[in-house]
Amino acid sequence: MKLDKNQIDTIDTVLEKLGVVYIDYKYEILDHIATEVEEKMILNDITFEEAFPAVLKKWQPKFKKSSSALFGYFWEMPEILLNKCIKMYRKKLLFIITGAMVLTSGFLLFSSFLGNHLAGFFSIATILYSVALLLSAIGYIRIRLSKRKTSYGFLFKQQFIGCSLVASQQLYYMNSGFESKHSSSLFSYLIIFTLCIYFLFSVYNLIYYRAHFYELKRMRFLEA
Amino acid sequence: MKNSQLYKGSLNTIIMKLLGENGRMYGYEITQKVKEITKGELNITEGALYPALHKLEAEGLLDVEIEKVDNRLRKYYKLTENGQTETVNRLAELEEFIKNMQSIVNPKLSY
Repeated sequence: MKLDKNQIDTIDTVLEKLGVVYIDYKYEILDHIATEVEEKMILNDITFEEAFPAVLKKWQPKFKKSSSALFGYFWEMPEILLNKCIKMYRKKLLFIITGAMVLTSGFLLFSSFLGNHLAGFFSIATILYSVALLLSAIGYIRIRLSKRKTSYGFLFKQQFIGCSLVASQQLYYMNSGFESKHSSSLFSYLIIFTLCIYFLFSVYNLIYYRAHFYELKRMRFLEA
Repeated sequence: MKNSQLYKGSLNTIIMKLLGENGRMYGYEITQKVKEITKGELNITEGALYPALHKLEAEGLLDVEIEKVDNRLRKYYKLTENGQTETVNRLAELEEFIKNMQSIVNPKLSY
């Protein structure tokens, strides 16, 4: 027994209310639940109104609102979506921190040949930060204006907030003369390390941005 | 999933093996197929299945086809060329693992 459009819309509405809004996951969950409901209706010879709550009850623990220290306890979403975001993010964090340490060490090795040319590097870094910040802001606005949400869009927005704070702080330090007054190798290391982290985060932001719009594009045609 | 710790490491290989045999499949179909083959002994949960499918897709081992079926969208997964090669490798690795486990658990049966 196949579900009609109204019954599918009912499942869709319930999922939206439960917070299952990311389309890269929602349609799969919807299809899974709908197929389970259809099977239950045939096997137990019951109506949609009886089968759907029973199936939903089984799924309920996965839709429980949860939060994580990774994204801040303020952000709550169904556990099944949160787990996906955590898995994507945790793996990336490890790569970013390791990558930034390697890049920083490499850069400092190279900069020892440049002597005291760190100030020149800071002016280049200022331009890079400003351009990256501007591009991220455009990306953020475009994602905010999207009619549909994806888990990639969520990760982009989370990173944008953190990256903007870091970039603003870095821009201040590099242009306030703080470095010349409080010159230390540890300070230089931290400035360059943060720049490398920011650079790697920006690469991931680009990946999330593209993935968000790719998901929207491949669903747009079929949703109609 | 029953005995999750033992099966967890093999989930991706199980999915790839099924897709290799059946061409393309959707999420619910995979869970039912595993249940059918193992006579209900192994039950893949949705919380484990979909992240695994998404990871394999991100690694370029699976391809996705989305179709409108019975008033809803359905995502079908199939192996890419790389995925087919990787399935052979992973199955060989799994068989080797089973053989080694057999030698440890029941040395009389091993060969």
